[in-house]
Amino acid sequence: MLVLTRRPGEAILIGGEIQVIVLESTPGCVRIGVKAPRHVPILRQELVALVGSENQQAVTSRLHPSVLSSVHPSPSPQP
Amino acid sequence: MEVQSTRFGTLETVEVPEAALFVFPEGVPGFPDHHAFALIEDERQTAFSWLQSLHDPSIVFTLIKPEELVTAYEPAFNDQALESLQLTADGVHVDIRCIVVFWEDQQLLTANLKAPVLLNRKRQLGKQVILSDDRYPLRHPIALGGSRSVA
Repeated sequence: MLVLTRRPGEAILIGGEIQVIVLESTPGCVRIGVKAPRHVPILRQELVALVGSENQQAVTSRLHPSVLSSVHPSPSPQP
Repeated sequence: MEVQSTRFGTLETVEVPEAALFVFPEGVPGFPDHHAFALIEDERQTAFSWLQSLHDPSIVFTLIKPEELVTAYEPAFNDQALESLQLTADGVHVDIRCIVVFWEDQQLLTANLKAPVLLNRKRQLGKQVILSDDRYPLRHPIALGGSRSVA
């Protein structure tokens, strides 16, 4: 892994198209800005892991038809 | 074609039309090696369907239509998600489904609105997309029990 030291306001370029800027650094927290083309997906890494473990939980769920027939979802305007 | 499934716990054989087979080029999070799935639909349970891995009968997701849960589910998808499903062409329809989790100890059902499953029926391509949209939660509770009377 490449390790670089950057100060707030300084940036790195990845492949000429992706710019990662250190906006602010405080003890225990770094604010980062990313400029990338729209086709590049940018996600918090822990979110990907979270969805993976949610999927693992989903396949262990076995919903008997009797459970499904007791579900009467009523759409709400807000999630 | 005949598909082996354990969607209700016991192994069964389900007849699925060829048009209901989908390729997930990237797999799904947590199951990166599962690329081929069958969408099992049931006319008695139109709100629900099942995404059955063709690699393993025990890998099956219960899906729900998001319109059953929220009146306006309009997540913004990024270009990469749409391109990987070959959805940039006009007039190609995409079906959106959400994965259901049953928390047996709490007798609670939740649906993952944060990472919907997109299905391009024309090209038979699928992808689970993780939204950067913060409006939609990973665990949207689904009401259990007879809150609505049955005619």
